[in-house]
Amino acid sequence: MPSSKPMPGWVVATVVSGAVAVACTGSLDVSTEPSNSSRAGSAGSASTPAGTGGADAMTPEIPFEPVSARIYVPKIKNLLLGLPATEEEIAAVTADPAALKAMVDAWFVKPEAQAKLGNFFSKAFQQTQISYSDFFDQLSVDNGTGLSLFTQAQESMSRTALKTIADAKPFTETVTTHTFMMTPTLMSLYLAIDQSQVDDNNKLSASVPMPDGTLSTTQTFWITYQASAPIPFSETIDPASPNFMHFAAPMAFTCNVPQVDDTGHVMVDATGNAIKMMVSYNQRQYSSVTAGFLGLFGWASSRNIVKDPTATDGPPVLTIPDDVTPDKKNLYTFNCTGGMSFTPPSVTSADAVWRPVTIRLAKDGEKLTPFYDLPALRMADEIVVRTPRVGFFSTPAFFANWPTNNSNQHRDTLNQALIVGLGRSINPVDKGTATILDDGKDGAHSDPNSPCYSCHQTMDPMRNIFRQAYSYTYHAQHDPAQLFATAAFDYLGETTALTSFDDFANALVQHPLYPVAWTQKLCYYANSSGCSEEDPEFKRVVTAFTDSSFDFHTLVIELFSSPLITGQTSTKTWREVGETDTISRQDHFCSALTNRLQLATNLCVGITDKTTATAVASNIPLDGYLRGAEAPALSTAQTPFYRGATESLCTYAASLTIDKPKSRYDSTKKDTAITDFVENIMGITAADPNNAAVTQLLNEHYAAAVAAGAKPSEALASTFVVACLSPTSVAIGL
Amino acid sequence: MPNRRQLLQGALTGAGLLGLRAMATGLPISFLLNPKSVRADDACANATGAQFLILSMSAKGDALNCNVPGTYDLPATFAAGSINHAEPVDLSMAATSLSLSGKKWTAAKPWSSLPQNVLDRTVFFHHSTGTANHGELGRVLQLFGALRRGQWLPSYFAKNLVSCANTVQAQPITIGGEQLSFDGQYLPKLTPTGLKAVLSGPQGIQAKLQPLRDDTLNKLNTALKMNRSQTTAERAYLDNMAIAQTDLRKMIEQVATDLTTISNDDPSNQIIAAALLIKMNVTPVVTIHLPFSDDNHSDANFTNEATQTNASVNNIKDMMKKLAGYGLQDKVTFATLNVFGRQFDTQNGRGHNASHSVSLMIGKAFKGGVVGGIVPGGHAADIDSTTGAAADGGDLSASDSLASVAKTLGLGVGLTDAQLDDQITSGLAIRSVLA
Repeated sequence: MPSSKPMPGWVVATVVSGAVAVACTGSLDVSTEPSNSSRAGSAGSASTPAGTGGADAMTPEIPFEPVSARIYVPKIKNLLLGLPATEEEIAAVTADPAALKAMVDAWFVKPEAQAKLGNFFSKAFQQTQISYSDFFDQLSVDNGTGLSLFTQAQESMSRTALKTIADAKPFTETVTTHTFMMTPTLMSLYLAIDQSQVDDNNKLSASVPMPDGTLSTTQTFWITYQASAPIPFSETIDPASPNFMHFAAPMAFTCNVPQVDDTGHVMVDATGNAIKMMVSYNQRQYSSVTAGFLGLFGWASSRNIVKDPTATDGPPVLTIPDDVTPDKKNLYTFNCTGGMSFTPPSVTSADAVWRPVTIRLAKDGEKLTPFYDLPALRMADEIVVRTPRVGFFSTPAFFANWPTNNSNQHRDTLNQALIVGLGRSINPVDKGTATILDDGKDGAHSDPNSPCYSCHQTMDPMRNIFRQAYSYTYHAQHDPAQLFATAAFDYLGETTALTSFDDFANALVQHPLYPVAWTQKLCYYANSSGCSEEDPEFKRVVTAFTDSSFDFHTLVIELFSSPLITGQTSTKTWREVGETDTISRQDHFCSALTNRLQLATNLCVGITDKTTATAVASNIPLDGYLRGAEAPALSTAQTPFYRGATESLCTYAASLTIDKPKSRYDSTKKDTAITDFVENIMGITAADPNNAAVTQLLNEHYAAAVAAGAKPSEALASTFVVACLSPTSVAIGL
Repeated sequence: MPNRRQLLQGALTGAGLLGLRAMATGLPISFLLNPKSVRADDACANATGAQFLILSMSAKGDALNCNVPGTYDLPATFAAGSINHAEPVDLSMAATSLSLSGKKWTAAKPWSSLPQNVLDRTVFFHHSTGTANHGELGRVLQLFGALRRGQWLPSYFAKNLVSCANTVQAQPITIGGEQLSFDGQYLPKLTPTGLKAVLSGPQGIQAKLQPLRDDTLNKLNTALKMNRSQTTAERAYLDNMAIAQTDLRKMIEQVATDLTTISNDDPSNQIIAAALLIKMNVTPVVTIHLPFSDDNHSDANFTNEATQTNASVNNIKDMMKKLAGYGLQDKVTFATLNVFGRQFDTQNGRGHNASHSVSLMIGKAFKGGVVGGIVPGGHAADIDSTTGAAADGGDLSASDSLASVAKTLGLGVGLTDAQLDDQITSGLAIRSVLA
């Protein structure tokens, strides 16, 4: 069990301020909160952010007010499905609250619930909140925003979690697994990173498996435009072909080149500037594996291009005559197309098909899986690599979230892995007992008299498991000086030696905090505030999860039918934290509108109106996570900006769904539409005591809009916006 | 300390009549929703001295500490090569003399370009945040526990200033990308372009329909509060929704054409947005982010540090012009507070400095000067709280200097000693730099 004891905030402050005098270099995000099992949303969590202080211990209990089934059933169904509760469902739970459990069970397996859970997992496993540029460390070359592989990288772990649940496997496998949901494109990404090595000194090298199984350290790659027809992929992967490792491009590259006269001198115009002309060329040659990989998937990098003056199809070369004076040499410079995206001729829809794929470390002498062999990848259920990949904490997306460097030395990576796996950040109060400190390589922190010592005492033995496996850019570690590093798990009372990532994964899932962490994550998801971990009801749910062999389905059923979430009866959590009513953040609001309007794609993805897109992106908060924070970042408060942005989004939704071909609403059927607004969008059932009054208000609004000069379509759209902005639509818990 | 919900609970007896109570009393609904017993953060304690605050803050850390007055002209006790400033070949950061309220100092060249009337109300406060961890900006803003009840400094200031400025909301607005908490809840991170998007009023028939919708929504709120909500929290939330709508409409009325100048979310546009938010009287505190190097693990020859310092000083000058254009030059204080500074002893930016940082304070309430300084090793010096000078063994230890930044800034924006001493449990205000 956790070793730490509750500690008042002022004690923690004293501990931390003790570190003032000496500058600890590095950038680990450690928590200085008391790490104790009694923490709750009101004391040191993210929605009630860290350090609400020791004074909270004296907070009087909040008188309990029960929440009715008419409120909490729609809340739970909205959270799980984004759909309104039916009157039958509300009535059934009103008559027998135990009926909720079966409903949650049934809702859980619906596609809408799986989609929402997938979104939850992508954040809970910290695989998102990144862009393509965050993969730079791992790819070493510039890359293009439009490549689907970056989106796929962020989805892989959540899909893996959903697959684990669907297969009725223990949820702990999301930590221990070597098998991930992948596409051939994603498999190729993992392989390219594995075959392009970057060491701790940023030295780039290649180790490319050839079709005959040998490894090449000199293989180069081309992106080639062939005017007659794209290079067949069979030639690209055929070592006997002159087009081996030439990836097809559908268009030529261009340069704006100065024109030269017969003597090779640049011609200038009347102002003395070089006269230039756009010329095209057909191929780029790359020295880097990842540049070749990106070429395969539609991005011609502007870095790592091999300059070969003898290449007839390569970029133009301009030789400066010997008699050109230094002040004129700038006339010979010119620009070519930089990074360029294109539709890759060799990639097909099959390369975006998801399936479970095992990532296995190569045995001695075993052939690695080539990153370029798409036909083989489309059939494969296993890839062979040298870079270890185990569970959520070693995916390219997790690493893109948490870059490290020669100062941080993977401490950040470790800390975020602990936050995801155990819900706890490294804490000076919870120091370990190990004395293994980086073998003296980081002397300032190895000094027991250093104020940094206690954190590093806990951190460094654990982070060594990352350090010996990965370089700072998350490529396989080949530096013998790092490979010997001893690693150990020593955290909150649990101690074990680590010899592999499997050991680290097992240490996480065997830790008593593992089921607590996931129960707490769902508390935040449902309530936008944490549950008291000392709450007997919370403990009951944790036990149910554990006793079910970590069946996530069971956890959801037990928690979402629990008074922790419903508020139907009093719990320690509710007495301490109270009822949190919250804005419907993007994750919930967009899903709710999408599902209730039965749109084919998420309403908030690809918003075509730029102002609406900006308003939504900036002012309707997403569920999120922060570096070093144990609890998710969840905004709950109504603000004028949220009000304005939701109005923009509702107006946009109206423009998609009213009086459009095959749209849901027809202004000639106003009454039908308004009935749907009330029952479906607002979730106020026909039998709800408020239904008649609300329907009347919407009808009155429609009439007032027409009276103000609006056309029927405009009046109905305005009425829709009212329903969309109503309290039951934009809030959770009302 | 009761939390927000408990306060609301006490406040909302007869909450359904809040609108009527507001009309009858003339008090804002927001006040009626939160009528705590008169506390320091409810009544304006210093109406004449109260200031708006624009606070630049960053979890990335910055090297502002290495290029300001107080880190130049050091005695021989500092070993050669131990204090490295950014010195690009273009001399854009060259050591340059400047005057702060009549006293000569040396700093990187950009600082000397501030107008003299600005320099004469500019304070460079050397202190120590005590952390080298990016993730601890929140802890810094909580003064590592020295600010009671886990309050975050910008929010604490805002709560105490809202009744003086009578702003639309008490919550600070953060448009610099950092997270901020108010009363235990994270505030949304806004952007200049996002503000522009929601504060642009509708045109044509939509301009007629919008007030009709607002009216219907108000009626819906009332109906649902009376007939659906069953708990105090639910009723309070419905009231907050109505308030948010009213506040939004007020803001849109005031925005006029100024919003059209916002083009993106960079620091210069953050300044425009911050000035507009204050002009609109939306909030007492706006947080932005002006970078002075950002994460400085690797910055060959301090190139980024030089570029960003020049750009940010120029942005400060633009901010002062913008505020003067709005007639707000004497009503707004600008300050910086970052998670940590840069270490002095390397040439390429490497090293987060937990023990030395500099906060900048510019405002009517300040007299130009320098508080504190550095000691060999690049740590913040102890301070003589009477003079503000660096003093080995001074009565204000470096470890209490972060709280002193807060108290000094607090006095500068119009809080009283009583308010500050009640809530900030350590540190001393430095009065020698107050005008």
